[in-house]
Amino acid sequence: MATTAPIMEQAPDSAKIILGIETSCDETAAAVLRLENGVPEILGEVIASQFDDHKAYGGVVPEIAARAHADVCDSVVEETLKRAGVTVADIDAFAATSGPGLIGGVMVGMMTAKALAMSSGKPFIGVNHLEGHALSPRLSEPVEFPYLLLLVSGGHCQFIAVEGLGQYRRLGSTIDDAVGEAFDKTAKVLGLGFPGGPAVERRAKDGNPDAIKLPRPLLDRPGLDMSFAGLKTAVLREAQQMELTDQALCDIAASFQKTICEILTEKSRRAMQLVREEMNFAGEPGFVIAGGVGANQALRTSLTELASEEGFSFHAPPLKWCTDNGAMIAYAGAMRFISGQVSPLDLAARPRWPLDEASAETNPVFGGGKRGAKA
Amino acid sequence: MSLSLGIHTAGPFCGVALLDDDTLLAFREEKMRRGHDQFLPGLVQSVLDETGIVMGAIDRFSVCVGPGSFTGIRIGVAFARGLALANGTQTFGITSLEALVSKPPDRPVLALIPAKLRPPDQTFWAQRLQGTERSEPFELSANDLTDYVSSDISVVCTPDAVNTIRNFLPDPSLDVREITAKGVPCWANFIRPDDIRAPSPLYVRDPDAIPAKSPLL
Repeated sequence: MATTAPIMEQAPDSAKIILGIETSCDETAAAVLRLENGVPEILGEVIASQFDDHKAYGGVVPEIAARAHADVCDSVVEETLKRAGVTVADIDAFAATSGPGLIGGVMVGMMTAKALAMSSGKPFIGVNHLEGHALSPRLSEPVEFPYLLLLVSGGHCQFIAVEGLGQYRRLGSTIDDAVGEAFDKTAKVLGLGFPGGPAVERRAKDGNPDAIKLPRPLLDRPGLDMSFAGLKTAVLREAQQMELTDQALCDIAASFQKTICEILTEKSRRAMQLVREEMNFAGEPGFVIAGGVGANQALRTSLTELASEEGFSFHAPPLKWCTDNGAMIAYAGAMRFISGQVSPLDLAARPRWPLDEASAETNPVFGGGKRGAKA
Repeated sequence: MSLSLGIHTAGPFCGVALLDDDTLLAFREEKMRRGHDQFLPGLVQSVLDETGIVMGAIDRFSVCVGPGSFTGIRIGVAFARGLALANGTQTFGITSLEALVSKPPDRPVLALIPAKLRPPDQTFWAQRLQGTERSEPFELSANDLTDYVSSDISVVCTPDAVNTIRNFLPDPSLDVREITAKGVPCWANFIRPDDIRAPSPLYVRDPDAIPAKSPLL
Protein backbone atom coordinates (compact mmCIF):
# COMPACT_ATOMS: atom_id res chain seq x y z
CA MET A 1 0.00 0.00 0.00
CA ALA A 2 1.21 3.51 -0.79
CA THR A 3 2.29 5.28 2.35
CA THR A 4 1.32 8.66 1.04
CA ALA A 5 -1.32 9.93 -1.32
CA PRO A 6 -0.57 13.06 -3.34
CA ILE A 7 -2.73 16.11 -2.74
CA MET A 8 -2.62 19.56 -4.23
CA GLU A 9 0.60 21.37 -3.58
CA GLN A 10 0.33 23.78 -0.67
CA ALA A 11 1.29 27.40 -1.08
CA PRO A 12 4.74 27.06 0.50
CA ASP A 13 4.91 30.53 2.02
CA SER A 14 1.60 30.57 3.87
CA ALA A 15 1.84 29.61 7.53
CA LYS A 16 0.70 26.11 8.42
CA ILE A 17 -0.07 24.73 11.87
CA ILE A 18 0.63 21.03 12.39
CA LEU A 19 0.02 18.75 15.36
CA GLY A 20 2.56 15.95 15.85
CA ILE A 21 2.05 12.89 18.08
CA GLU A 22 4.81 10.47 19.11
CA THR A 23 4.08 7.16 20.89
CA SER A 24 6.54 4.66 19.43
CA CYS A 25 8.52 3.82 22.56
CA ASP A 26 8.29 5.02 26.16
CA GLU A 27 7.37 8.68 25.72
CA THR A 28 3.86 9.95 25.02
CA ALA A 29 4.58 13.27 23.35
CA ALA A 30 2.82 15.89 21.26
CA ALA A 31 3.66 19.28 19.82
CA VAL A 32 1.99 22.04 17.84
CA LEU A 33 4.31 23.50 15.21
CA ARG A 34 3.89 26.57 13.05
CA LEU A 35 5.78 26.50 9.75
CA GLU A 36 6.12 29.69 7.75
CA ASN A 37 8.53 30.22 4.85
CA GLY A 38 10.23 26.98 5.84
CA VAL A 39 10.94 28.26 9.35
CA PRO A 40 9.55 26.06 12.17
CA GLU A 41 8.33 27.39 15.49
CA ILE A 42 7.06 25.19 18.32
CA LEU A 43 3.95 26.79 19.80
CA GLY A 44 3.47 24.22 22.54
CA GLU A 45 4.63 20.73 23.49
CA VAL A 46 4.26 18.03 26.11
CA ILE A 47 6.50 15.03 26.73
CA ALA A 48 5.08 12.51 29.21
CA SER A 49 7.76 10.00 30.07
CA GLN A 50 7.05 6.47 31.29
CA PHE A 51 10.46 5.95 32.93
CA ASP A 52 8.90 5.11 36.29
CA ASP A 53 6.62 2.46 34.77
CA HIS A 54 9.57 0.57 33.27
CA LYS A 55 12.22 1.13 35.94
CA ALA A 56 11.72 -2.18 37.75
CA TYR A 57 12.20 -4.12 34.52
CA GLY A 58 15.47 -2.54 33.40
CA GLY A 59 14.07 -1.89 29.93
CA VAL A 60 10.92 -0.89 28.10
CA VAL A 61 8.18 -3.53 28.41
CA PRO A 62 6.00 -3.28 25.28
CA GLU A 63 2.66 -4.08 26.93
CA ILE A 64 3.31 -1.68 29.82
CA ALA A 65 4.27 1.02 27.30
CA ALA A 66 1.16 0.48 25.19
CA ARG A 67 -1.07 0.71 28.26
CA ALA A 68 0.53 3.93 29.42
CA HIS A 69 0.13 5.51 25.96
CA ALA A 70 -3.56 4.54 25.86
CA ASP A 71 -4.08 6.05 29.31
CA VAL A 72 -2.68 9.49 28.55
CA CYS A 73 -2.47 10.11 24.79
CA ASP A 74 -5.67 12.16 24.51
CA SER A 75 -4.87 14.28 27.56
CA VAL A 76 -1.31 14.88 26.33
CA VAL A 77 -2.77 16.20 23.05
CA GLU A 78 -5.34 18.30 24.90
CA GLU A 79 -2.67 19.86 27.14
CA THR A 80 -0.43 20.49 24.11
CA LEU A 81 -3.21 22.39 22.32
CA LYS A 82 -3.83 24.39 25.48
CA ARG A 83 -0.16 25.32 25.86
CA ALA A 84 -0.02 26.31 22.19
CA GLY A 85 -3.15 28.43 22.58
CA VAL A 86 -4.94 26.75 19.68
CA THR A 87 -7.98 24.51 19.23
CA VAL A 88 -8.42 21.40 17.08
CA ALA A 89 -10.06 23.61 14.44
CA ASP A 90 -6.88 25.69 14.07
CA ILE A 91 -4.78 22.67 13.03
CA ASP A 92 -4.09 22.27 9.28
CA ALA A 93 -2.90 18.65 9.45
CA PHE A 94 -2.48 15.91 12.05
CA ALA A 95 0.78 13.98 12.01
CA ALA A 96 1.62 10.89 14.06
CA THR A 97 4.43 8.38 14.17
CA SER A 98 3.18 5.33 12.26
CA GLY A 99 6.40 3.31 12.63
CA PRO A 100 8.94 1.97 13.24
CA GLY A 101 8.58 1.14 16.93
CA LEU A 102 6.57 -0.79 19.49
CA ILE A 103 3.41 -1.39 17.55
CA GLY A 104 0.94 -1.22 20.45
CA GLY A 105 2.02 2.31 21.27
CA VAL A 106 2.33 3.40 17.64
CA MET A 107 -1.29 2.41 17.06
CA VAL A 108 -2.52 4.52 19.98
CA GLY A 109 -0.94 7.73 18.68
CA MET A 110 -1.87 6.97 15.10
CA MET A 111 -5.54 6.25 15.91
CA THR A 112 -5.75 9.45 17.97
CA ALA A 113 -4.44 11.46 15.00
CA LYS A 114 -6.72 9.66 12.54
CA ALA A 115 -9.76 10.46 14.71
CA LEU A 116 -8.77 14.13 14.99
CA ALA A 117 -8.14 14.36 11.23
CA MET A 118 -11.37 12.63 10.31
CA SER A 119 -13.45 14.76 12.67
CA SER A 120 -12.03 18.03 11.42
CA GLY A 121 -11.86 17.10 7.73
CA LYS A 122 -8.10 17.82 7.65
CA PRO A 123 -5.32 15.55 6.40
CA PHE A 124 -3.64 12.82 8.41
CA ILE A 125 0.10 12.28 7.90
CA GLY A 126 1.79 9.07 9.03
CA VAL A 127 5.39 9.96 9.87
CA ASN A 128 8.43 7.68 9.93
CA HIS A 129 9.85 8.10 13.44
CA LEU A 130 13.38 7.91 12.01
CA GLU A 131 12.64 10.74 9.59
CA GLY A 132 11.59 12.76 12.61
CA HIS A 133 15.01 12.19 14.20
CA ALA A 134 16.79 12.73 10.87
CA LEU A 135 15.24 16.19 10.43
CA SER A 136 15.26 17.15 14.13
CA PRO A 137 18.38 19.39 14.03
CA ARG A 138 16.49 21.66 11.63
CA LEU A 139 13.99 22.46 14.41
CA SER A 140 16.55 24.70 16.08
CA GLU A 141 18.89 25.75 13.24
CA PRO A 142 18.74 25.84 9.42
CA VAL A 143 21.08 22.91 8.65
CA GLU A 144 21.42 22.69 4.86
CA PHE A 145 21.01 19.46 2.84
CA PRO A 146 22.98 17.32 2.27
CA TYR A 147 24.26 16.35 5.70
CA LEU A 148 25.66 13.28 7.39
CA LEU A 149 23.50 11.89 10.16
CA LEU A 150 24.51 9.61 13.01
CA LEU A 151 21.29 8.33 14.50
CA VAL A 152 21.90 6.76 17.90
CA SER A 153 19.02 5.75 20.16
CA GLY A 154 17.61 2.85 22.15
CA GLY A 155 16.19 1.29 19.01
CA HIS A 156 18.47 2.48 16.22
CA CYS A 157 22.08 3.03 15.33
CA GLN A 158 22.95 4.04 11.80
CA PHE A 159 24.78 6.42 9.51
CA ILE A 160 22.53 8.11 6.95
CA ALA A 161 23.31 10.56 4.17
CA VAL A 162 20.40 13.01 4.29
CA GLU A 163 20.13 14.53 0.82
CA GLY A 164 16.68 16.07 1.11
CA LEU A 165 13.18 15.37 2.41
CA GLY A 166 12.58 11.66 1.81
CA GLN A 167 16.06 11.17 0.34
CA TYR A 168 18.00 9.03 2.74
CA ARG A 169 20.90 6.72 2.00
CA ARG A 170 22.00 4.17 4.58
CA LEU A 171 25.78 4.15 4.83
CA GLY A 172 26.12 1.79 7.79
CA SER A 173 24.12 0.30 10.62
CA THR A 174 24.40 -1.82 13.72
CA ILE A 175 24.00 -5.46 12.84
CA ASP A 176 22.53 -6.38 16.23
CA ASP A 177 21.76 -4.19 19.27
CA ALA A 178 21.29 -0.45 19.07
CA VAL A 179 23.82 1.56 21.04
CA GLY A 180 21.18 2.82 23.50
CA GLU A 181 20.24 -0.79 24.10
CA ALA A 182 23.89 -1.50 24.95
CA PHE A 183 23.76 1.29 27.56
CA ASP A 184 20.52 -0.10 29.03
CA LYS A 185 21.81 -3.68 29.15
CA THR A 186 25.11 -2.66 30.69
CA ALA A 187 23.30 -0.61 33.33
CA LYS A 188 21.07 -3.61 34.01
CA VAL A 189 24.07 -5.94 34.38
CA LEU A 190 25.72 -3.51 36.80
CA GLY A 191 22.47 -2.76 38.63
CA LEU A 192 22.77 0.97 37.88
CA GLY A 193 19.10 1.56 37.06
CA PHE A 194 16.99 2.60 34.10
CA PRO A 195 17.25 4.37 31.69
CA GLY A 196 20.79 3.14 31.23
CA GLY A 197 22.23 6.08 29.30
CA PRO A 198 22.11 8.71 32.05
CA ALA A 199 22.84 6.06 34.73
CA VAL A 200 26.08 4.94 33.04
CA GLU A 201 27.10 8.51 32.22
CA ARG A 202 26.66 9.59 35.85
CA ARG A 203 28.92 6.79 37.12
CA ALA A 204 31.44 7.23 34.31
CA LYS A 205 32.21 10.77 35.52
CA ASP A 206 33.96 9.36 38.62
CA GLY A 207 35.59 6.37 36.93
CA ASN A 208 38.85 5.51 35.21
CA PRO A 209 38.11 5.00 31.51
CA ASP A 210 41.20 2.81 31.07
CA ALA A 211 40.42 0.48 33.98
CA ILE A 212 39.22 -2.43 31.87
CA LYS A 213 39.70 -3.37 28.24
CA LEU A 214 36.53 -4.11 26.30
CA PRO A 215 36.26 -5.43 22.73
CA ARG A 216 35.62 -3.05 19.84
CA PRO A 217 33.62 -5.27 17.49
CA LEU A 218 33.86 -4.62 13.73
CA LEU A 219 36.33 -1.78 14.23
CA ASP A 220 39.07 -3.84 12.63
CA ARG A 221 36.96 -4.33 9.51
CA PRO A 222 36.36 -1.77 6.78
CA GLY A 223 32.93 -0.23 6.34
CA LEU A 224 30.48 1.53 8.61
CA ASP A 225 28.53 -1.34 10.13
CA MET A 226 28.67 -1.72 13.90
CA SER A 227 27.97 -4.37 16.54
CA PHE A 228 27.17 -3.82 20.22
CA ALA A 229 25.53 -7.05 21.38
CA GLY A 230 28.79 -8.54 22.68
CA LEU A 231 29.63 -5.61 24.94
CA LYS A 232 27.08 -6.47 27.59
CA THR A 233 28.54 -9.96 27.99
CA ALA A 234 32.09 -8.58 28.01
CA VAL A 235 31.11 -6.14 30.76
CA LEU A 236 29.51 -8.94 32.77
CA ARG A 237 32.61 -11.13 32.41
CA GLU A 238 34.91 -8.34 33.58
CA ALA A 239 32.59 -7.41 36.44
CA GLN A 240 32.47 -11.00 37.70
CA GLN A 241 36.24 -10.94 38.21
CA MET A 242 36.24 -7.75 40.27
CA GLU A 243 35.21 -6.82 43.74
CA LEU A 244 32.23 -4.60 42.95
CA THR A 245 32.98 -1.55 45.03
CA ASP A 246 31.37 1.76 44.10
CA GLN A 247 34.65 2.78 42.49
CA ALA A 248 34.76 -0.43 40.43
CA LEU A 249 31.26 0.27 39.08
CA CYS A 250 32.36 3.78 38.12
CA ASP A 251 35.49 2.38 36.45
CA ILE A 252 33.49 -0.15 34.42
CA ALA A 253 30.95 2.51 33.40
CA ALA A 254 33.75 4.86 32.34
CA SER A 255 35.52 2.13 30.36
CA PHE A 256 32.28 1.13 28.67
CA GLN A 257 31.44 4.72 27.74
CA LYS A 258 34.95 5.27 26.39
CA THR A 259 34.66 2.14 24.25
CA ILE A 260 31.34 3.31 22.77
CA CYS A 261 32.81 6.78 22.09
CA GLU A 262 35.83 5.27 20.34
CA ILE A 263 33.73 3.00 18.14
CA LEU A 264 31.30 5.75 17.14
CA THR A 265 34.04 8.33 16.65
CA GLU A 266 36.16 6.08 14.44
CA LYS A 267 33.14 5.00 12.38
CA SER A 268 32.06 8.65 12.10
CA ARG A 269 35.52 9.54 10.78
CA ARG A 270 35.17 6.88 8.08
CA ALA A 271 31.64 8.09 7.27
CA MET A 272 32.84 11.67 6.86
CA GLN A 273 35.62 10.55 4.54
CA LEU A 274 33.19 8.42 2.55
CA VAL A 275 30.62 11.15 1.92
CA ARG A 276 33.36 13.61 0.99
CA GLU A 277 35.10 11.26 -1.42
CA GLU A 278 32.17 9.41 -2.93
CA MET A 279 29.06 11.54 -2.45
CA ASN A 280 30.20 15.05 -3.30
CA PHE A 281 29.72 16.53 0.17
CA ALA A 282 31.60 19.74 -0.62
CA GLY A 283 32.78 22.72 1.46
CA GLU A 284 31.93 22.44 5.15
CA PRO A 285 29.10 19.91 5.19
CA GLY A 286 26.99 19.30 8.28
CA PHE A 287 27.48 16.37 10.65
CA VAL A 288 24.40 15.75 12.76
CA ILE A 289 23.94 13.53 15.79
CA ALA A 290 20.36 12.71 16.74
CA GLY A 291 18.54 10.25 18.97
CA GLY A 292 18.64 9.69 22.73
CA VAL A 293 22.32 8.64 22.93
CA GLY A 294 23.10 12.04 21.38
CA ALA A 295 22.42 13.38 24.87
CA ASN A 296 25.67 11.76 26.12
CA GLN A 297 28.13 14.59 26.78
CA ALA A 298 31.30 12.53 26.39
CA LEU A 299 30.13 11.40 22.96
CA ARG A 300 29.17 14.94 21.95
CA THR A 301 32.59 16.23 22.95
CA SER A 302 34.41 13.51 21.04
CA LEU A 303 32.31 13.99 17.90
CA THR A 304 32.57 17.79 18.05
CA GLU A 305 36.36 17.49 18.00
CA LEU A 306 36.24 14.98 15.15
CA ALA A 307 33.93 17.21 13.06
CA SER A 308 36.28 20.13 13.42
CA GLU A 309 39.30 17.95 12.45
CA GLU A 310 37.47 16.70 9.35
CA GLY A 311 36.07 20.09 8.32
CA PHE A 312 32.42 19.35 9.11
CA SER A 313 30.08 21.65 11.03
CA PHE A 314 28.67 19.86 14.10
CA HIS A 315 24.96 19.96 14.89
CA ALA A 316 22.92 18.35 17.61
CA PRO A 317 19.35 19.16 18.55
CA PRO A 318 18.81 20.50 22.09
CA LEU A 319 18.59 17.64 24.62
CA LYS A 320 14.77 17.67 24.80
CA TRP A 321 14.62 17.02 21.03
CA CYS A 322 17.36 14.35 21.09
CA THR A 323 15.15 11.86 22.87
CA ASP A 324 11.70 11.05 21.51
CA ASN A 325 9.43 14.07 21.17
CA GLY A 326 6.38 15.36 19.32
CA ALA A 327 8.14 18.39 17.82
CA MET A 328 10.21 16.35 15.39
CA ILE A 329 7.11 14.43 14.27
CA ALA A 330 5.21 17.69 13.76
CA TYR A 331 8.16 19.07 11.76
CA ALA A 332 8.57 15.99 9.54
CA GLY A 333 4.78 16.00 9.08
CA ALA A 334 4.81 19.69 8.17
CA MET A 335 7.57 19.16 5.60
CA ARG A 336 5.59 16.31 4.04
CA PHE A 337 2.42 18.40 4.12
CA ILE A 338 3.85 21.43 2.31
CA SER A 339 5.32 19.16 -0.34
CA GLY A 340 1.85 17.75 -0.94
CA GLN A 341 2.20 14.37 0.75
CA VAL A 342 -0.49 13.18 3.11
CA SER A 343 -1.55 9.68 4.15
CA PRO A 344 -4.80 7.77 3.65
CA LEU A 345 -6.81 7.02 6.80
CA ASP A 346 -6.27 3.29 6.21
CA LEU A 347 -2.52 3.63 6.64
CA ALA A 348 -1.16 0.62 8.54
CA ALA A 349 1.21 0.96 11.48
CA ARG A 350 4.62 -0.50 10.61
CA PRO A 351 6.76 -2.08 13.35
CA ARG A 352 9.70 -1.96 10.94
CA TRP A 353 10.17 0.85 8.48
CA PRO A 354 13.76 1.51 7.39
CA LEU A 355 14.55 5.05 6.25
CA ASP A 356 16.46 3.78 3.23
CA GLU A 357 13.96 1.15 2.10
CA ALA A 358 15.78 0.28 -1.11
CA SER A 359 19.00 -0.66 0.69
CA ALA A 360 17.14 -2.49 3.45
CA GLU A 361 15.36 -4.59 0.84
CA THR A 362 18.29 -5.41 -1.41
CA ASN A 363 20.97 -5.59 1.25
CA PRO A 364 19.52 -5.95 4.75
CA VAL A 365 22.14 -5.65 7.51
CA PHE A 366 19.83 -6.06 10.47
CA GLY A 367 16.57 -7.88 11.05
CA GLY A 368 14.55 -9.78 8.52
CA GLY A 369 11.90 -12.48 8.30
CA LYS A 370 8.19 -11.86 8.08
CA ARG A 371 8.34 -8.35 9.50
CA GLY A 372 11.10 -7.23 7.16
CA ALA A 373 14.50 -5.64 7.68
CA LYS A 374 15.17 -3.02 10.36
CA ALA A 375 17.94 -1.39 8.32
CA MET B 1 -33.86 11.95 18.54
CA SER B 2 -30.51 10.92 19.96
CA LEU B 3 -27.67 9.67 17.77
CA SER B 4 -25.32 7.12 19.27
CA LEU B 5 -22.27 5.67 17.51
CA GLY B 6 -20.70 2.45 18.81
CA ILE B 7 -17.32 0.93 17.98
CA HIS B 8 -16.15 -2.63 18.64
CA THR B 9 -12.58 -3.66 17.81
CA ALA B 10 -11.89 -5.98 20.75
CA GLY B 11 -12.68 -9.22 18.96
CA PRO B 12 -11.90 -10.98 15.66
CA PHE B 13 -13.91 -8.37 13.80
CA CYS B 14 -14.10 -4.61 13.33
CA GLY B 15 -17.57 -3.15 13.71
CA VAL B 16 -19.42 0.16 13.83
CA ALA B 17 -23.11 0.76 14.53
CA LEU B 18 -25.16 3.95 14.51
CA LEU B 19 -28.44 4.19 16.40
CA ASP B 20 -31.13 6.83 16.54
CA ASP B 21 -32.66 6.12 19.95
CA ASP B 22 -33.53 2.41 19.56
CA THR B 23 -33.49 2.33 15.78
CA LEU B 24 -30.46 0.94 14.00
CA LEU B 25 -29.64 3.41 11.22
CA ALA B 26 -26.48 1.76 9.90
CA PHE B 27 -24.19 -1.10 10.77
CA ARG B 28 -20.91 -2.28 9.25
CA GLU B 29 -18.79 -5.14 10.45
CA GLU B 30 -15.94 -7.08 8.92
CA LYS B 31 -14.21 -10.18 10.18
CA MET B 32 -10.53 -9.63 10.80
CA ARG B 33 -7.84 -10.87 13.16
CA ARG B 34 -5.60 -7.88 12.57
CA GLY B 35 -5.71 -4.58 10.68
CA HIS B 36 -8.35 -2.87 12.84
CA ASP B 37 -6.13 0.23 12.80
CA GLN B 38 -6.46 0.33 9.01
CA PHE B 39 -10.17 -0.40 8.63
CA LEU B 40 -11.85 1.38 11.55
CA PRO B 41 -11.80 4.97 10.16
CA GLY B 42 -13.20 3.78 6.81
CA LEU B 43 -16.00 1.82 8.50
CA VAL B 44 -16.99 4.86 10.57
CA GLN B 45 -16.93 6.99 7.42
CA SER B 46 -19.09 4.53 5.49
CA VAL B 47 -21.69 4.52 8.27
CA LEU B 48 -21.77 8.32 8.19
CA ASP B 49 -21.94 8.41 4.37
CA GLU B 50 -24.74 5.86 4.28
CA THR B 51 -26.90 7.90 6.65
CA GLY B 52 -25.81 11.38 5.57
CA ILE B 53 -25.03 12.19 9.21
CA VAL B 54 -21.99 14.29 10.06
CA MET B 55 -19.66 13.43 12.92
CA GLY B 56 -20.49 16.64 14.80
CA ALA B 57 -24.17 15.69 14.94
CA ILE B 58 -23.57 12.54 16.98
CA ASP B 59 -24.69 12.84 20.60
CA ARG B 60 -22.74 9.94 22.13
CA PHE B 61 -19.79 7.76 21.25
CA SER B 62 -19.32 4.39 22.85
CA VAL B 63 -16.54 1.88 22.54
CA CYS B 64 -15.97 -1.68 23.69
CA VAL B 65 -13.24 -1.62 26.37
CA GLY B 66 -12.87 -5.40 26.84
CA PRO B 67 -12.38 -8.11 27.88
CA GLY B 68 -10.78 -8.90 24.52
CA SER B 69 -7.67 -8.43 22.45
CA PHE B 70 -5.47 -5.84 24.19
CA THR B 71 -4.29 -4.32 20.91
CA GLY B 72 -7.81 -4.30 19.49
CA ILE B 73 -9.18 -2.62 22.62
CA ARG B 74 -6.53 0.11 22.43
CA ILE B 75 -7.24 0.79 18.76
CA GLY B 76 -10.93 1.36 19.46
CA VAL B 77 -10.35 3.30 22.68
CA ALA B 78 -7.69 5.60 21.19
CA PHE B 79 -9.90 6.33 18.19
CA ALA B 80 -13.01 6.96 20.30
CA ARG B 81 -11.09 9.24 22.67
CA GLY B 82 -9.70 11.12 19.67
CA LEU B 83 -13.26 11.60 18.39
CA ALA B 84 -14.33 12.77 21.85
CA LEU B 85 -11.48 15.27 21.99
CA ALA B 86 -12.23 16.69 18.55
CA ASN B 87 -16.00 16.90 19.00
CA GLY B 88 -16.41 17.47 22.72
CA THR B 89 -18.86 14.57 22.73
CA GLN B 90 -19.69 12.38 25.72
CA THR B 91 -17.97 9.00 25.36
CA PHE B 92 -18.80 5.71 27.08
CA GLY B 93 -16.90 2.52 27.72
CA ILE B 94 -18.94 -0.66 27.17
CA THR B 95 -17.76 -4.14 28.16
CA SER B 96 -17.76 -7.09 25.74
CA LEU B 97 -20.37 -8.72 28.00
CA GLU B 98 -22.64 -5.68 27.88
CA ALA B 99 -22.21 -5.69 24.09
CA LEU B 100 -23.25 -9.37 24.09
CA VAL B 101 -26.45 -8.59 26.03
CA SER B 102 -26.87 -5.49 23.79
CA LYS B 103 -29.19 -3.45 26.04
CA PRO B 104 -30.16 -3.28 29.70
CA PRO B 105 -32.09 -6.51 30.43
CA ASP B 106 -35.36 -6.36 32.39
CA ARG B 107 -34.63 -9.62 34.23
CA PRO B 108 -31.32 -10.60 35.89
CA VAL B 109 -28.78 -11.95 33.44
CA LEU B 110 -25.40 -13.63 33.79
CA ALA B 111 -23.36 -12.94 30.64
CA LEU B 112 -20.56 -15.40 29.87
CA ILE B 113 -17.80 -15.48 27.29
CA PRO B 114 -14.93 -17.98 27.36
CA ALA B 115 -11.69 -16.91 29.01
CA LYS B 116 -9.80 -20.22 29.18
CA LEU B 117 -11.34 -23.18 27.39
CA ARG B 118 -8.64 -25.80 27.76
CA PRO B 119 -8.94 -28.18 30.76
CA PRO B 120 -8.09 -28.22 33.57
CA ASP B 121 -8.44 -24.42 33.90
CA GLN B 122 -11.78 -23.70 32.31
CA THR B 123 -12.98 -20.17 33.04
CA PHE B 124 -15.31 -17.50 31.72
CA TRP B 125 -15.45 -13.75 31.79
CA ALA B 126 -18.69 -13.08 33.55
CA GLN B 127 -20.85 -10.09 34.37
CA ARG B 128 -24.19 -9.83 36.18
CA LEU B 129 -26.64 -7.40 34.68
CA GLN B 130 -30.13 -6.21 35.52
CA GLY B 131 -31.51 -3.04 34.04
CA THR B 132 -28.62 -0.61 34.12
CA GLU B 133 -27.23 -2.21 37.28
CA ARG B 134 -23.99 -3.90 36.26
CA SER B 135 -21.36 -5.81 38.20
CA GLU B 136 -17.74 -5.44 37.17
CA PRO B 137 -16.65 -8.22 34.79
CA PHE B 138 -14.96 -11.04 36.71
CA GLU B 139 -13.28 -14.33 35.92
CA LEU B 140 -15.53 -17.25 36.85
CA SER B 141 -14.27 -20.81 37.07
CA ALA B 142 -16.48 -23.35 35.29
CA ASN B 143 -16.47 -25.33 38.55
CA ASP B 144 -18.26 -22.45 40.28
CA LEU B 145 -20.97 -22.00 37.64
CA THR B 146 -23.58 -23.73 39.77
CA ASP B 147 -23.13 -21.11 42.50
CA TYR B 148 -24.05 -18.33 40.12
CA VAL B 149 -26.80 -19.84 37.99
CA SER B 150 -30.31 -20.40 39.33
CA SER B 151 -33.83 -20.31 38.00
CA ASP B 152 -33.93 -16.57 38.74
CA ILE B 153 -31.15 -15.65 36.38
CA SER B 154 -30.86 -16.34 32.68
CA VAL B 155 -27.54 -17.10 31.05
CA VAL B 156 -26.52 -15.25 27.89
CA CYS B 157 -23.39 -16.62 26.23
CA THR B 158 -21.44 -16.83 23.00
CA PRO B 159 -21.58 -20.00 20.86
CA ASP B 160 -18.01 -20.98 21.79
CA ALA B 161 -18.99 -21.08 25.48
CA VAL B 162 -21.88 -23.52 25.08
CA ASN B 163 -20.04 -26.85 25.24
CA THR B 164 -18.09 -25.96 28.35
CA ILE B 165 -21.21 -24.69 30.11
CA ARG B 166 -23.06 -27.91 29.28
CA ASN B 167 -20.25 -29.95 30.80
CA PHE B 168 -20.62 -28.17 34.11
CA LEU B 169 -24.33 -27.29 34.29
CA PRO B 170 -26.95 -30.00 33.89
CA ASP B 171 -29.58 -29.01 31.35
CA PRO B 172 -28.98 -25.25 31.26
CA SER B 173 -31.29 -22.88 29.40
CA LEU B 174 -28.98 -20.72 27.39
CA ASP B 175 -29.57 -17.62 25.31
CA VAL B 176 -26.80 -18.01 22.73
CA ARG B 177 -25.74 -14.89 20.82
CA GLU B 178 -22.82 -13.50 18.87
CA ILE B 179 -21.05 -10.35 20.03
CA THR B 180 -21.39 -7.58 17.47
CA ALA B 181 -20.92 -3.83 17.37
CA LYS B 182 -24.72 -3.54 17.31
CA GLY B 183 -24.68 -4.24 21.04
CA VAL B 184 -22.38 -1.32 21.84
CA PRO B 185 -24.24 1.99 21.22
CA CYS B 186 -27.62 1.09 22.75
CA TRP B 187 -26.44 1.22 26.38
CA ALA B 188 -25.53 4.88 26.04
CA ASN B 189 -29.22 5.75 25.79
CA PHE B 190 -30.01 4.22 29.17
CA ILE B 191 -27.04 4.76 31.44
CA ARG B 192 -27.32 7.59 33.95
CA PRO B 193 -24.62 10.25 33.53
CA ASP B 194 -23.21 9.45 36.98
CA ASP B 195 -22.96 5.76 36.09
CA ILE B 196 -20.83 6.07 32.94
CA ARG B 197 -17.89 3.73 32.54
CA ALA B 198 -14.87 5.70 31.31
CA PRO B 199 -13.65 4.80 27.81
CA SER B 200 -10.53 3.21 29.30
CA PRO B 201 -9.25 -0.26 28.46
CA LEU B 202 -10.46 -3.00 30.77
CA TYR B 203 -7.44 -5.27 31.01
CA VAL B 204 -8.21 -8.56 32.62
CA ARG B 205 -4.60 -9.63 33.03
CA ASP B 206 -1.46 -7.91 34.25
CA PRO B 207 1.32 -7.33 31.71
CA ASP B 208 3.63 -10.30 31.38
CA ALA B 209 6.91 -8.89 32.68
CA ILE B 210 9.55 -10.00 35.13
CA PRO B 211 11.43 -7.41 37.22
CA ALA B 212 15.09 -7.09 36.28
CA LYS B 213 17.80 -8.47 38.52
CA SER B 214 21.49 -7.91 37.98
CA PRO B 215 23.23 -11.29 37.62
CA LEU B 216 25.97 -9.85 39.84
CA LEU B 217 23.88 -8.98 42.88
